Amino acid sequence: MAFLSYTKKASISLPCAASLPYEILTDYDTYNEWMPHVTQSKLLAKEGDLAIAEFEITRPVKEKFALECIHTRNKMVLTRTISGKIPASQFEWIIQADGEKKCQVTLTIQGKANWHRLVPSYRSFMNASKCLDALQSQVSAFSPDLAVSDQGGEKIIELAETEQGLVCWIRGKKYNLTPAPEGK
Amino acid sequence: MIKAVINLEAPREHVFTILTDYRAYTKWLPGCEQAEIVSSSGDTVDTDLIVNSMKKMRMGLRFEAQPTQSLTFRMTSGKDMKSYAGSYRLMDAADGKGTVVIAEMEIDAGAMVPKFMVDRIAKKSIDDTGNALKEYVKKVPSQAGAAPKAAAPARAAEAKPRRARRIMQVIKTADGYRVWMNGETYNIKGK
Repeated sequence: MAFLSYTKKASISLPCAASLPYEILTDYDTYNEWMPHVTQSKLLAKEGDLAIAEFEITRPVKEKFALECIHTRNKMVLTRTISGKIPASQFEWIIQADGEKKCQVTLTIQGKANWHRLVPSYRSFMNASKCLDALQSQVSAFSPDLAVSDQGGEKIIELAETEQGLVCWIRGKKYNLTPAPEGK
Repeated sequence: MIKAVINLEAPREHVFTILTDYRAYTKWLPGCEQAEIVSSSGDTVDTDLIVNSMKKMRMGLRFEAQPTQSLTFRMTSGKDMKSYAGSYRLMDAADGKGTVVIAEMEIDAGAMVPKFMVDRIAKKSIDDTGNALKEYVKKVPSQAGAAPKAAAPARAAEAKPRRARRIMQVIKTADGYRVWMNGETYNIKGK
């Protein structure tokens, strides 16, 4: 029943392998770091290509919603709203590899055509272009090749979170940072 | 199809045992006044249920189980609804603290009752069932031991090394500084 739903679609080209956006999109514990309006996100369960996740948004009202997520490795992530009152019923992320270091991500959001879609916060949450911009920002945090900040110039300071902890480069020299004892 | 997610602080085997103890449905399923097993063959069980919620209904329900994985049910007899079907899918919680159940329900009450109304009733029914199951799981001790099974090792085995994540970068350019932080770029011009 198409008149009871509506669709928003946008695409973006990313200078990274398809595996990177796929990893970000299937890391349900970290959506709150990048997805607009998501303040909490948690993986509840995962079995094979099916995952159940719970997200929370705080605008326009605090709302928790559960999603069932179906994946096809490095190609597609489909999330459907199982419970909660948000007007979005489905987010479909299609990832198309374009060589080894480029890919295109297309996001199609399906929503329920009720009055909720007129609420600015929901409109913003369900804005496919904004979601893709946010994904690009998150991708840039993992991909040193992304031309967001490497457009020439001298790299003075770089701070990164690695498996070994926080690492800082100051004018090319590497420092491993360790947490200071509490209260010092 | 109406769906709901139910988080239960109990091992999957224990939840499955409760869901397949059909005679005990009268102890926890909201409105269930009678639950009798009519026949059973392997993991398929035919039951006779009387449920008193919006109105008193008698129906035959066939349950088909996939041990510790899922339980599906569908109406085989009854005059009050055209069709009634659903399922429970059981998954280990990712945090290792119990079971996540995905409940699904589909009701067709016939052409005389609007679908939005049926869906609303189904949603309430599935939510009430989830809450009742949560309470009942806490009351009934697990025969395999009270402590929830630790599913965390399974997840840990799945865990893969995380990529290095850039947090901040400061670049000196001819015009000043370019600061990249958490995905945003800021240009700071020199005086």
